[in-house]
Amino acid sequence: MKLLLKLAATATVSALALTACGTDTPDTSATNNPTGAETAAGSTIPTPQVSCDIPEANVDGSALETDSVEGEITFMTQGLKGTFDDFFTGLIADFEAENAGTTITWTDQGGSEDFDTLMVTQASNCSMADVINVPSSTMLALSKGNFLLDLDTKMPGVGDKFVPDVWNSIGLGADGAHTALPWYFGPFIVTYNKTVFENAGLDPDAPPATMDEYFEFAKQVADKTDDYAIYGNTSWYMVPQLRAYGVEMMNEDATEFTFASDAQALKWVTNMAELYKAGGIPQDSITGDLDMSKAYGDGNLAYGSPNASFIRNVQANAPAVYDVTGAGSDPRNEGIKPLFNGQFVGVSVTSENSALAAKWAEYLTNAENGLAWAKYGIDTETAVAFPVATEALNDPSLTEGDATDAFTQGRIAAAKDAQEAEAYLPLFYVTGAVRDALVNNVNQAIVGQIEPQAALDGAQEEMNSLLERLLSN
Amino acid sequence: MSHVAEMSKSRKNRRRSNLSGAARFRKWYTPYIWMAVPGAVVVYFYIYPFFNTLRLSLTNASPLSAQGTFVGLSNYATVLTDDRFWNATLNSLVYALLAVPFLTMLPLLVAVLLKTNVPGIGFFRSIYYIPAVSSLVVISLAWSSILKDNGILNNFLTNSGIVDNPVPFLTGRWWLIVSAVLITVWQGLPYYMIMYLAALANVDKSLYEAAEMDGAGAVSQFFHITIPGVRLIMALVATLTTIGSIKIFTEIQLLSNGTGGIGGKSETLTMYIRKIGLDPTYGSLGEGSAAAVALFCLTLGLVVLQQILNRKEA
Repeated sequence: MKLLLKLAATATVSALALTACGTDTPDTSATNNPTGAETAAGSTIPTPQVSCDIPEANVDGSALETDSVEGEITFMTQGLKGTFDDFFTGLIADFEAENAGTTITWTDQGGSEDFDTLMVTQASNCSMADVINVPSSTMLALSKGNFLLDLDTKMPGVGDKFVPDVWNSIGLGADGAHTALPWYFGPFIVTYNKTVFENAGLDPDAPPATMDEYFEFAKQVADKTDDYAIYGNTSWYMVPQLRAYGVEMMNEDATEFTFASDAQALKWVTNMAELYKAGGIPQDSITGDLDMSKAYGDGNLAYGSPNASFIRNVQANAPAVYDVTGAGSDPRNEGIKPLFNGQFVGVSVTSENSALAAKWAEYLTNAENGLAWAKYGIDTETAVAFPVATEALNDPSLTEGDATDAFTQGRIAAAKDAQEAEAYLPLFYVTGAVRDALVNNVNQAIVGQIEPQAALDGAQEEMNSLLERLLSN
Repeated sequence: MSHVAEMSKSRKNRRRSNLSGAARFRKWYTPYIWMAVPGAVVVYFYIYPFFNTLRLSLTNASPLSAQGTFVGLSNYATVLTDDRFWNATLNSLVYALLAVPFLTMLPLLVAVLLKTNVPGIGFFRSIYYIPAVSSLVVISLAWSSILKDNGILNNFLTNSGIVDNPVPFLTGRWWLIVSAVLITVWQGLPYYMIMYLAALANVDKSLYEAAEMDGAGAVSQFFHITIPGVRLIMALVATLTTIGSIKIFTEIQLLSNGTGGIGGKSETLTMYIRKIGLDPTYGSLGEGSAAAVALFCLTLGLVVLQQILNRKEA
């Protein structure tokens, strides 16, 4: 029956595909412009498909004039209102005082599973804020849809202040144009339960330094204790771990996934599968909640979340476990740099006041305010976030502190790694359906349903198929 | 006055005299005015999206490029040759096959038990109805906590020696679907029970008295009086639960934290549609819409099949 249906569908489709071939599909291959958008006259900036008129000044070939600005704009952050109100209201007041006649209206959108979809929808119907704060996955979607201002053209030189290893790798717009300013980030660290380490005969003050040690310690925990070593849902840090292992996820121009033939990738999946078999991974954590705080808070899991801010959750919800929690630099193999995976600030291409929006975005991300933002997080112990402006990132105050508790240990470890961090393009591309393809295949290998190499091959094939659609649609 | 004019007046009077009350003074267009707003709502929120889905299924539209261009039936070919689509279809059908009989029969049995008017029966009926008014999200999360490897149920099963290892209620391909059925039935049972209680109240009590005098037992009365008496409601419940079951989403989405189980093997058709159609970066509205049309055809086919079977039985 299934075969008959397939045959029928294929036959019908073959006939109608001929009609489809005749449709007027724009050739976008030359511009790497995934939505096939048109460009404004005299400009190479592609325009998106939106339900409103796009101001000519936002897509022509000239730079924005930001010396004298006035008017109103909206500024949307992701999940910052409620915790950082003092900082942002002060910052906005300072900007408005420096630029008389301007008004910044701050809104906030909590992070959720559908955040990217929401932002793309808002961008399409022109209801997106003038200046937006988004994570890398949203930045990719908005950039590929040409919904963000081309900063290379409209704000030339704006990226000079950022760490070159980050700025030079985040051109995701048409023809590699920059579409967002890197704002803040927190490099991954390793957090671990010292008691579980001790029970396994490990040194509680020596966290793993390399990925080989990471798995070696995990296996020791699985073999010598009744505790668990690693939480099974690795979907949001699988790529950083593969990278830490030295895996090259994509080719150099980010047009193809290539990891399946990498021996280190096979080693990572094999290690995870062996750990699962040895009882080192809670079985239902493979599809468990993304946030491992609760599982780690139970006190029988060796490794906690690699997010430094996570330690604050442990302190609040499981103080006894917090007392025995240690933190250190994220383990990575020789020659691998820490990864930049952070938050960005972009300007909507449909903004009616793009000059003011651009000036506010630049103000928000400059060295002075970037450093002030990082220090605010440290002083109030609300976040571990570092600026991307080189001058701010090198400020010695970020790495200072008495590392007697896990939170400070984690913050100092992250601060040191932040100064060496580089943006890794595959991190941007492994999102949504591509991430699902990777995780779904690898998870089957981890639980022993398929062989590790078959999982990698299957994942790579699916991921390349989706990537091809994005790049050539 | 001419003869024709008189005839016309007479006809008008006759027409008016057939109406009563305020209706006699209504203009011919009055009903259309009343219908305008709800009609517009139906067209905008139901009719237009339906035809727009059909249109999108023939284009290469994506969330990043919503207009798209005509691509014929290629989206249907892609979807119908995608193993994930058939896997999701199988999961949705298995779910429906498990859920529909339970949701059709169990509420009837409970309604039969609760139909007797004894003191305090209203209280019990209210208690039974609580799951129906609870949030499905909250219910799913609560059940997730019960069904996890170290949850109450698995602790009971392992500690009592019934099983050696925890049952993978949340990770086993079919167990995840069974767990979702459990939640659906638990929540849906009281809703349909109320429908059956209303239907049972209309079954002629003298039929039971006559059957009892003839020596028919409770089981015999159930099959020969109760079921024929509520047959119409049973058909309605079966139809509604079939439609609802084929569209199952929330339970499996929440129990599996959006993964569709290990390897996505337990994902249902609605989850599949959401993933392939609405992914903001890699999604295809065309393929998602094609899968949605397939889901519509499947649902319609099952409902028609049910109607045919019901007619044959009747």
